[in-house]
Amino acid sequence: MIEFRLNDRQTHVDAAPMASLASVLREQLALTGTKVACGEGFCGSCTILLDDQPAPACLLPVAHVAGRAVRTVEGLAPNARLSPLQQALADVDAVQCGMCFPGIVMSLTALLERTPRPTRPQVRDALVGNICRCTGYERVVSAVLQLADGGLRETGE
Amino acid sequence: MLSAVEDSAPLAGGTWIMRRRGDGPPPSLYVSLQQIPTLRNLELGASPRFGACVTHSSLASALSDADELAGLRDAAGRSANPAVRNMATIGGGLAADAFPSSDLVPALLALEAAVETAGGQSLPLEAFLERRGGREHLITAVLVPARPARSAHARLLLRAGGEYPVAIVSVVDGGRGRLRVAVGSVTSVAFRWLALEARVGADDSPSSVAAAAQELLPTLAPRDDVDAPAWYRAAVLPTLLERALTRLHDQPPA
Amino acid sequence: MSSSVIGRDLPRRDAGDKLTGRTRFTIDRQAPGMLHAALRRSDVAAATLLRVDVAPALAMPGVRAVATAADAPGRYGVGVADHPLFAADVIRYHGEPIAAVAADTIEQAEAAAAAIVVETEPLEAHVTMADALAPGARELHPGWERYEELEPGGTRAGNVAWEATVVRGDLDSAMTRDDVVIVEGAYAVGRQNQASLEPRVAIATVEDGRVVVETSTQHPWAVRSGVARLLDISESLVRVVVPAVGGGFGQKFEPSVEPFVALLARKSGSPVKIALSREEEMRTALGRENAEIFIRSAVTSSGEILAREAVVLMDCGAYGGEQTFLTTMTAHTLMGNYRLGAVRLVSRAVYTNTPPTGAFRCCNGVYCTFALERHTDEICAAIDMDRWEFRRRNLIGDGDLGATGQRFEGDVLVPMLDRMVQLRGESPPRPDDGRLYGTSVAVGTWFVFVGPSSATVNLNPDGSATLITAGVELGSGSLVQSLPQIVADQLGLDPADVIVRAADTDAAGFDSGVGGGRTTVSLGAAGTAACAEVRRKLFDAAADLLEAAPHDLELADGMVGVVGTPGRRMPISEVVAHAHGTSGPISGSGAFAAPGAEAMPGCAAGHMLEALDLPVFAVHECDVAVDPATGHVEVLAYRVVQDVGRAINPRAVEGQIQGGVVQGLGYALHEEITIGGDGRIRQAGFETYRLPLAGDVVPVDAELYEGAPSCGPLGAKGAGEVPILAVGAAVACAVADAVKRPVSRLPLTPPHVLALILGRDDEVTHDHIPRSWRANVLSDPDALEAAFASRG
Repeated sequence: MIEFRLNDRQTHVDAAPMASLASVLREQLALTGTKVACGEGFCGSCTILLDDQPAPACLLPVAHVAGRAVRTVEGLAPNARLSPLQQALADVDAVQCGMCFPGIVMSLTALLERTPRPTRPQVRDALVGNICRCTGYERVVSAVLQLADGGLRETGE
Repeated sequence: MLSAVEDSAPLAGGTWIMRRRGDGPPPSLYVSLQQIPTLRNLELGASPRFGACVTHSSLASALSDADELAGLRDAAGRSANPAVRNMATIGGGLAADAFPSSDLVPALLALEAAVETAGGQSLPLEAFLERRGGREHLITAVLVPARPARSAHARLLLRAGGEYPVAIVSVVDGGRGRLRVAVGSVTSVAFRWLALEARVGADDSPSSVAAAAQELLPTLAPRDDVDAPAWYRAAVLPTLLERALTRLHDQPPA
Repeated sequence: MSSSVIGRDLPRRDAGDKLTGRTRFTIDRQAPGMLHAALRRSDVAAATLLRVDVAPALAMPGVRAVATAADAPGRYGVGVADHPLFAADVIRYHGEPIAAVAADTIEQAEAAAAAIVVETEPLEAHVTMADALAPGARELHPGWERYEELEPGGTRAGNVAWEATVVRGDLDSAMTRDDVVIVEGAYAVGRQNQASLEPRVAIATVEDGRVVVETSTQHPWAVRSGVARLLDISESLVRVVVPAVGGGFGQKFEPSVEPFVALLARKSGSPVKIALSREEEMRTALGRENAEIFIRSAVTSSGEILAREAVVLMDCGAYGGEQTFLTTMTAHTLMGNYRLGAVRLVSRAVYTNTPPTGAFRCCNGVYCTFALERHTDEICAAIDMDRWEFRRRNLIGDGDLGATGQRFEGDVLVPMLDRMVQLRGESPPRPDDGRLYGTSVAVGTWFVFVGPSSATVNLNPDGSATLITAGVELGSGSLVQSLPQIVADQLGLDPADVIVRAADTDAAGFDSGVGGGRTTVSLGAAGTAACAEVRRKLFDAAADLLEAAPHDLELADGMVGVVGTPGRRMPISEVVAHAHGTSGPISGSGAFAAPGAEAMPGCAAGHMLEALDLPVFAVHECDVAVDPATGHVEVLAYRVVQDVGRAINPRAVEGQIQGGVVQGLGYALHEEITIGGDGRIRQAGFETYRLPLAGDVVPVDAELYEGAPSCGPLGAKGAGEVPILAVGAAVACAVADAVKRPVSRLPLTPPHVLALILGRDDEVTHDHIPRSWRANVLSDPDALEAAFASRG
């Protein structure tokens, strides 16, 4: 039994210790927002926050999250609302097929929590492990910069 | 526990093992090192010592004010991508099989780092790299014997970021004109380029070092693989050295 | 009609769920009691399959069903039915499926698949087209003559899966004139992997004796017929439903994994899911083909192109697939853009012992445009003419003939070129930093595949409307933006009141599949026709209530009203309620089919499309800086003028342009696929297959050019596919301009560029391609010429 904090709730799962966190989230906990598109840590579609830091859930043995705090895309804003970052991305029509966006949102959430007013290079560096095949990234980057400039940001979620 | 169970292997960050790389069946048991807090210690004195389970991002962050260790800081802080850096460990990277494009290895070679293993032994990193196939010894820490005057790290990628380099140069100004140069990803194992250091002598200007490297290129056995051909890895070395030395000289000595 | 909804940047209704991870793609779905499937694949490229023993697999824990060729003996395909679901007697590519296993867990399925005994005897593998076309080369498809032809008119023989030719005019005279310069070029391109983040995945269930397939596809009706064909059951016993698709780019335009789970679901009696791993996607995707092009033109000193001949070899891999159709495209792409005198073209799909290739955004177009524009720049150098000026003089305009003798309408390309000059504005000065600077212009001709589509629109009691089509949302936004905008515009509704039903072949009529641009045009046109019927019924019902003639009524803001009389109007819901009691519930259906543009008779042979019903043009410009020490290419600026006809949702189109150009930069600069001597693709994942990342991105400066003639709804042309068309060309031409050496290959990775600069690259010679088109055709060249000469 592996016990950990998931989206701010104490959670326990019965899983093989070497099962990836991604497979546990998707198959046992019905949290399919975290995607697995490469299984090797390059595409970023499995990005979650582990103790507030981005980590690739496809490479994380679930035993290693015991006693730690995991945040997934489902936990960013309650009750199907959108966090300011998610709203900013929706407002600029950044989304296309949507498979990469949970991972991108997690990477950017961590960035903005650390660096509320990132520069363009900082945003690009934060996203270098998140592959998007559809959008060509530019609109995502400018949405983040606009959001940061706007200064309207809730702390926490 | 590792010594008790025959078919077992240590597990640090997991970024290598979870990709299921390597030939042959996996061991029947992995023993996680995550619960051993001493393996995550960072000591930043005159002889820095980093626990084997320190992650790349923790290392980079800990070195944020240690400008003389800028080479190691860049190696740790720009490798792979942000999420992998948060999980990948120093020890895991050194122990990984078939990982010629590691950023940390040349940076540590240039610093003349040593590897400490369980049981208290310490051996130079070069020696550890040669014996890695054995794996009898669990890495517990990496030791940097002395802080350099300055250091720099230059990596050549095919894209702008987010990948393992096709060529890496890590340089250290050991003080009193002693230049140390390590090269990664060009050959199958990273190496300290002693022949270049000898040829360069006291003239460590970027262009001189590049020119000396150009002359020594035929002595190298660069590796050919699907990412880049051997001739290319060698051909870019003089330019990469020039960039590393320029970066080095741009820093005031500590 | 409210015209303000057309041209509006309507947000996407699916953005919220996609951003919060709530969208359930096929990869996220499960069925109760679902089994997992794994494939046993060949580990050799060419072999006789002697024996397959599945008994060991059947005995393993959790295994519920195993399928092999015996369960699906038929063949499917595009132009010709040459493709079995499983290798039967012969293995033709590394990774070819030999068996499929369904088990309780994926680990059990994989273990059982590995336990199947496979005995093979190696055959000589032909991994390159040169090998496959060499005299005496082993036929990959012995018995090709007996294959069923799914499209008429193809010329096939031996290892040529399909051949298309164009003969127009007197080539020989033009080529031998003494006032022409002859310019030749040989070009080669590698494959490209679509790399959609959602892999190919499908879930099949048997319900009431029918197979229900939930799948990540672009073409539900093709899956329906493909599954039925391979399972040898009636098509009406197959139902295909499609949730949101996590990227397609063409790979999902044909059935692929669905028949496996359909078979296993029938055999096991349980739902079965298959999801390909990234390694399987990398090694066996129906990717963009590698191709070899030879082109030769006769040009006068004033830049008139008197004649052009070309040979294009397209590697279809082990099975013909999409490439049989793509041989048709060369005439419109490589032989497009410019006014030509005489034309000779041979375009061949060639069998090799490699994974079959398929459709990928602007299939055939990207490398033909690359070769054409490089060739055009070489011509400019040969006759010492400015590259923009040459294009201005030769680009096709109103009334000009295309390669197959089609007459083009409208002056579109030259005005687009002029707009590009304005878009470019002032070029910034080039710094003196040791890099080599270059710039380029590249023009491309593409098309919208306007195959048949149907749509139904139901008017609901509350006055909202439901649009029912077999369209699928791949990410371009057509199903959540442009289509509801079109329906809203036609019915005077807010787009939020237009419900779009997800694709279900039990509900929607036939459609030819979703690929960028096609959706807006064909489904938009069918939807418009359906709306016309709804409007007619609504106005007939409202006429009494409003005491006006039907032709005096209009729809706006959810109301039916009398034109010019603001006071006389009523909500649509009231009219519908009235209709329910009189003529019945209101709905309309509509269809769209190709208008049928005409080519010149006798020109084209083996073509599935002789003329383009709806051409789409693009003009791109690119500025680069090349590092001469490392070969790195930095794209400093990228500009696009795209022919959109009418932009239904401009911001969505701009998003497609940004994404498509970046995908093209991947093709031009980073994404390399190499095939080993063993016929296996060497790039197994995203470590070695380099997609553009956030750091590689260039913001694209785009202008949407409107007004060109279009048969699409409201004059729209559909914009999602074409942004990638000219990128390889633009980058290659800019790099050639920068390094002052001819660029003949893509991708231009740093090692390739450095080799070019250092002069250590091998020249592309295509020794296996005879230089005369006559030596490259299966048909009798004299007969082809006679067919043209005697055209009616």
